[in-house]
Amino acid sequence: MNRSFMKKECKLTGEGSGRRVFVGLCFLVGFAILLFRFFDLQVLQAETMMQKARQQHEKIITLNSNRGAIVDRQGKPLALNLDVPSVYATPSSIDSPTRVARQLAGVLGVPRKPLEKRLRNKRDFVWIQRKIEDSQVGRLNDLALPGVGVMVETRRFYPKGTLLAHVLGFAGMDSQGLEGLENGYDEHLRGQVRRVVLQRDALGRVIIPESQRKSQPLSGHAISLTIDEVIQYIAEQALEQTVRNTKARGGAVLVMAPKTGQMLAWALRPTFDPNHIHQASPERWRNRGVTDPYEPGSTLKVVLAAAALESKSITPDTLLYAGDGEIPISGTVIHDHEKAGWVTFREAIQRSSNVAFVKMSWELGREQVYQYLRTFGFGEKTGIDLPGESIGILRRPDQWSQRTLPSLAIGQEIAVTPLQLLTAVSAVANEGWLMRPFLVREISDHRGKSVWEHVPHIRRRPISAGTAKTVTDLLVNVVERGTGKRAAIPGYRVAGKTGTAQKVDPATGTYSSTKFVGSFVGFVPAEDPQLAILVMIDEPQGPAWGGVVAAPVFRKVAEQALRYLSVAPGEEARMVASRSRPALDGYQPNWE
Amino acid sequence: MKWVLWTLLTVSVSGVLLFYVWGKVDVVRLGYELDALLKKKAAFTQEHDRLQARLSQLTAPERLASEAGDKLGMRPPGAKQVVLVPSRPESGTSSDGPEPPLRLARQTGD
Repeated sequence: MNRSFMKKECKLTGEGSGRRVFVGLCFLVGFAILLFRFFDLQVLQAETMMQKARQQHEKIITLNSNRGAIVDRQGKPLALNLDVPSVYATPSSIDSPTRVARQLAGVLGVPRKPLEKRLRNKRDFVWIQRKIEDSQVGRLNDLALPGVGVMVETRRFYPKGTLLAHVLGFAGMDSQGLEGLENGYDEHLRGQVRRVVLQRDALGRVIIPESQRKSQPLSGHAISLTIDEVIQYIAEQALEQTVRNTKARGGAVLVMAPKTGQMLAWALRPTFDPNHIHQASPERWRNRGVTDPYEPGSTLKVVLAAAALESKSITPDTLLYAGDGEIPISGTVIHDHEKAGWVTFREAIQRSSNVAFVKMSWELGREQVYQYLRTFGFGEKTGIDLPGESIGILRRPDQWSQRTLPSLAIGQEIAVTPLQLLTAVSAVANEGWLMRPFLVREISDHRGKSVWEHVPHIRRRPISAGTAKTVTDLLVNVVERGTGKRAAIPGYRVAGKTGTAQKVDPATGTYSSTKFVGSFVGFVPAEDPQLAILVMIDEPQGPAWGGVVAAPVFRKVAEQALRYLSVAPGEEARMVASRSRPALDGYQPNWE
Repeated sequence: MKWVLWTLLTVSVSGVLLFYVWGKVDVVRLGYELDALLKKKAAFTQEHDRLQARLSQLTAPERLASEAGDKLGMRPPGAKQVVLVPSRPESGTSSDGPEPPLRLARQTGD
């Protein structure tokens, strides 16, 4: 029995050994294949596999930060951001472009064929329509079209429409500043764009890892302007009305706080709505207050009078012979609008006598005239915080002809920007100190913490306080008895000067007899100036005298703005009101 | 004895593994909640911005002037309609009680 058992075992052992070897080999081959596959996946195809895994589990999103707001001096918003929906499509996911295009056209109210063409595009992503209405989004969601989605985009929004459009400028489709302050302060206004990698699950839901929770985009800084929305509205209304009534080509009203250089209003016509920039030509976007110099005419006499008085070459009572109202100059004749005979310098400026000012300029001499014009800031930028500022045109004395000096005396052969002229006249209102005008008073971060504050800057002092006071008295006389009577405001002493300048006809290169610029520049109250205002009306139809078309605009703006600022009429009453007046000063100026 | 040790080890390892998995699952759950809250926050911010823009439009000087003029019949006061009220001595120096609020203008009729 033992022998037979042993035989059987031996037989079994022999058979079992073969099988074991076979099974073992099978496992070995299997493991070898697996090992090779692991090696293939983990080493040879490592990059491809990691990329696939990343595509499935990771989602890279761009966090666009909000552009900082722009507010006026009272904190009222002038430029904001709005989230608006836009429709996009992924053409590869759309089975029937014709059907989808028909349904989309019905909701969006656009032609079907261009939509269908776009849906047949081979690209992965196409825009269908950007910035659509909320009601359209609801209808699109109801349709639940495959391959069609809605994405939220941020759009710059100007809630006051055309108000202050030239100063604000506008931002483009990708929130980049293109014009005005939006462009000049783009670096501060735009925030930081961040790309964040998020993990997502099989259903596409986002799992935010701990380390990335803090990766929020940094919003842009908010900027606070010196402009007052109410004064701006007053200026725009008065200008609009006059431009419309006189059928003028355009116009400007700039308002400044003369003691600090803060701009309170900046109205230009024609204008545009920054929410719909393509409805107006780029010509209208230009900020003519700083980009377009013009010949100032008699308003420049303020500066020349200051120069003559400062240099002691004349006094208010000096007699000048204005003759019969004309004076020949190198083949041409400079006229007055009335015969004057002998006049004091005070009367000469009151009547805006060209002949008297030509004679005064000869007394002063070309070097002094040039130096004073430069000291008052002509021929250089004012330094305002706006892009595209022009320096105007003021030639050096060695480039002057025989006619230049008398022409300058009446505001010709020189081109100034409205801002340059207003800044120069503001120096007279500010006891001779020439300030640098500015528009942005403060920049604050997204938490509202101030990061930068604008301190007024003194550029220089062209004239003494005594001369400034004498010029002010002369200018008050212009408004009370002279050409600027229509700028007078009951209860206030207004100082100002009218100007009526002939425009150069581009066709002939000579002065036109039909195209004029009527202007008025002045400040109020004369004894404690709170507002300096320049009004310029370009090519008004009918009477073009500055005293007729521009002075009433000055009165209208100044009267309402003074009331708004609680600047009461009369010196004594003004002291009463000063307690409730919104502060326009409150700064210690810096020297440049 | 050995059996008991192996059981304890198995239970401990399983416990640690379960705790680890539970923690991970909870992190994911909180991630979902956070994502939902962020979406809500974005929606509220969007609504806030929209309302602020609307408020800004409604309080624009142009609209206020037109509403005041057309609906309420208001207009800027004329020169004779502005009456200045003389100031009182600074508070603390008067014995006539509290200082009345300063008025700069009042309607006197036409």
